[in-house]
Amino acid sequence: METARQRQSRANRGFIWAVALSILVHAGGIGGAVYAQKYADRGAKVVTSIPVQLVRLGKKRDPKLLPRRIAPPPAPKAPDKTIDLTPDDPKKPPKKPEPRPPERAPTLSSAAERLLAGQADPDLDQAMQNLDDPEGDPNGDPMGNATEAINPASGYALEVSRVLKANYAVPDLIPPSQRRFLEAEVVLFVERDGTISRFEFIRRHPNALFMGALEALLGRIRLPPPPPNLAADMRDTGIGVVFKP
Amino acid sequence: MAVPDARDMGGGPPSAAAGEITSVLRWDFDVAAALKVLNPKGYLADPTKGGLAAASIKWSDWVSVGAEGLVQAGVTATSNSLRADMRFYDVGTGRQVIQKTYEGRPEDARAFAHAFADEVVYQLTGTKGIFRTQICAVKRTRTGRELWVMDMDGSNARAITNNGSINILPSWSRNGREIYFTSYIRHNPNLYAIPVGGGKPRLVLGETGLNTGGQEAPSGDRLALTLSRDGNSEIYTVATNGSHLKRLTKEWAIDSSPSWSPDGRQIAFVSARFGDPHIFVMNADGSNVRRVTDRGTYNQTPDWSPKGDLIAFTARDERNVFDIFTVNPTTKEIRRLTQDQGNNEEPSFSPDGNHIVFTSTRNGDSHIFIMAVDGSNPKRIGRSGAFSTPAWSPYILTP
Amino acid sequence: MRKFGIFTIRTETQDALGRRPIAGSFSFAARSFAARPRAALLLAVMVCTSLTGCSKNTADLELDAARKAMDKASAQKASDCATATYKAAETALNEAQKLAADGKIDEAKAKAMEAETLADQAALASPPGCDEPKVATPDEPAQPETTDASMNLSIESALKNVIYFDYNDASIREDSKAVLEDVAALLQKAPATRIEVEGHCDVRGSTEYNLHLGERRATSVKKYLTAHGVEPSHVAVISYGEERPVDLGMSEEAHQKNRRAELKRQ
Repeated sequence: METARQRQSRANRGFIWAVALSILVHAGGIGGAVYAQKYADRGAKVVTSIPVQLVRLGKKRDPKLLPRRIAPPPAPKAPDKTIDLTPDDPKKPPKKPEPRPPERAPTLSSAAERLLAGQADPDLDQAMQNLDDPEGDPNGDPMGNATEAINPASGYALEVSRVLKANYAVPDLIPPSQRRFLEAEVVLFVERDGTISRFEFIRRHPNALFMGALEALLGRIRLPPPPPNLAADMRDTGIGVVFKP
Repeated sequence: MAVPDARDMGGGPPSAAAGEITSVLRWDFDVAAALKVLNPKGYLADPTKGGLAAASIKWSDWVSVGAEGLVQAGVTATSNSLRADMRFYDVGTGRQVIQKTYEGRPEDARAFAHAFADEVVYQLTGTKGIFRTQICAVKRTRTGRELWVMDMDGSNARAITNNGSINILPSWSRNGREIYFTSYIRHNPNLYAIPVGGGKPRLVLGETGLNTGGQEAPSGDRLALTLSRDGNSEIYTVATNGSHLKRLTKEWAIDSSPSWSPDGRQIAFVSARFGDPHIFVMNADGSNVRRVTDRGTYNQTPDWSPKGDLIAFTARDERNVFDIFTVNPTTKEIRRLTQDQGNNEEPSFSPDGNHIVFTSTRNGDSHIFIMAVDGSNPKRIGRSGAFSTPAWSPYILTP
Repeated sequence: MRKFGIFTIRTETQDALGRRPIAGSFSFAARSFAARPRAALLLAVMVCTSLTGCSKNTADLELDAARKAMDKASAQKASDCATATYKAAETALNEAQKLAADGKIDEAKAKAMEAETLADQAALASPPGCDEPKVATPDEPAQPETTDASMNLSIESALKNVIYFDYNDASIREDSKAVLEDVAALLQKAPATRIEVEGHCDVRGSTEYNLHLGERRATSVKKYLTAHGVEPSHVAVISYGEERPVDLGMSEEAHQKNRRAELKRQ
């Protein structure tokens, strides 16, 4: 026979459980919302990497003048530079009755192979040499390609790009025709004191000289210490940088 | 995009029509830069084998050469008839996306291929293709200047004026049926309109002095043009029947070359009011004049993109070379499209706003070229002879 | 567009896509969003003020131009030779200044322009040494005994002169002034003669702009002739822009040959 006290005690226990459950659910809900908010914030941070580009050595372009295109003029009578999917063999008929093994990638044209191997392109090099009167920045780099310093970064990102730019150089051995294709994107993880704890390339370039120079640079360089409010992000999320000549 | 040779359904050797269809399709897709045409030398499939239908296509052959789209065409040609069956496949899914059959005469081969290219471009980009539009330009003749109209690939070129006088500055009516131009046929440079097929010019406006550069408003009810009747070159608007003349500018310097914004609310023009000619924009009633080019010293021939975001113009740079540029009328950002390739002048936008026709002296005489709006993929079109002031037609209604 | 780090670097695409960087990360895109309404307000204020300020400024411009023209005229001793025109210009300028001071901007502008035109005419009418009598060119027959036939001949030969211009310029060069003055003198003596001035340009520049530049060249020749006594209705102008070059070459020499005005008998 159940006493009133026992009934009372069970009701109390039920109530305590209910309260506990409620607290748990609410806490979970709030925590979830906070986390979701934080996550959403992170997701909303649409970010582009900061460009680190070498400005060409030359006289400053008058801002009143019309802009010039940076790309060199196409070499006269240049051979077709599109990637040809078949080896050039005039004797063979164009059709290939038996399909090639699927794992074999289509072969590249000589121009594309030269490009990937980092070899010089005589036509293009000549055309670039013919570009008279280079314009750029009096403090620019002889190997730079940009005529104007474009730097949309601000604050700490700007400081980072300045330090990198001041120490960044493209190896002399890379011929000019190859330079304009060079591009690599890397995320740097920065400690509180400004040392780069690690870096991850998002986009690599096949040119080993270029990549070697970048890795050497990032291995030895020390960035300015990030401001306290950014320190955690710099360490965990990192900062993206695009290197271009 | 892979475009294998069009084949003759009769099984015989490829006819001239099939060859023409193949080359037109490849050229069109090359111009529509988004659709890169793969080098036919790399195709694995035997163009003479298999049918046009999806079931008979060996998809692996196309996947392995990197094709995403495939166009197959089959042609049945006799001496006085032509039938072309054209299909566009999505290689990824092996699905037939478009199938069209065109019937007509042997000389319609190009038109069929252009029509099909338009279909494919519309399917893939959502923008109407431009391959059945036309270009009107001025050709230098022994006695003067005559208007020529040609397809946008330069074919079917024909003179539409032949009066031995000076006929210049063509611009299309918004419905694509007439061309406005300035002519000296009655000594004074008056503004006329002539049907695209040629015929008798209709006098639109004959004010004393210059009547130049008539540009029909997007609404099609009036023109903006430049007149010198008040002793100085100023911009006016006038109804298409020559009534309701209204003066928009009042400056001691030359104001000329109006070009409407696509919404018809603004007009870009050239003014030398600060000494050098520059590109300006004003409201369509002449108010709110503002300068949009603050670089360069000699900017002319504005043409407002049908998309509204850019104004293309000709400028002389510090090397005394003329080149094509675009300026964003809001941000005033100037981009260079041509460089180090002779003189490049007189840009005119295609009706989709993705291409520009212009003249270039890169091959010697002044020829007509088209290029993408970023300056890439320039292609010479048309025949020999010295041409100037090309004007790209609007979309032309075809039955 | 990548997602990492906490820096937002504003690019055009980002704006066009309407992706909004969150507040708090230091991005000037976010700041510019906030600043937009204020910028619009500022623009509105600027437009308002310029509406009132604009017409005043142009009147000042016209007045300045008129004053400059007067200075030029007096420097050429126009005050001595072309008395009537010079005086008229002076009066017009004074009136214009008064009108401007009274705030009657449009009238002031009109008056200032009139003053400028008169001053220009006065300057033109007073070539160096205007006090000396006009010396006839050697091949010109003696004035009183001129027969119609010889008159015709001399007009024909005078009209063969070509007036050349500088690049992108429509003003009469010093080397053409004497020629035009001779033409003006001849035309005054043969009031039945009607001429047309054709303006031409070199091939550089756009077709349409060059038509209007050619028109200005022809018009400045006409102005010079009328300033030297030729009846305005006796001189018509037409421009052929770059459509009728005399030399198809691309050398500077060829361009100079094409930048010209020709005089044709109607």
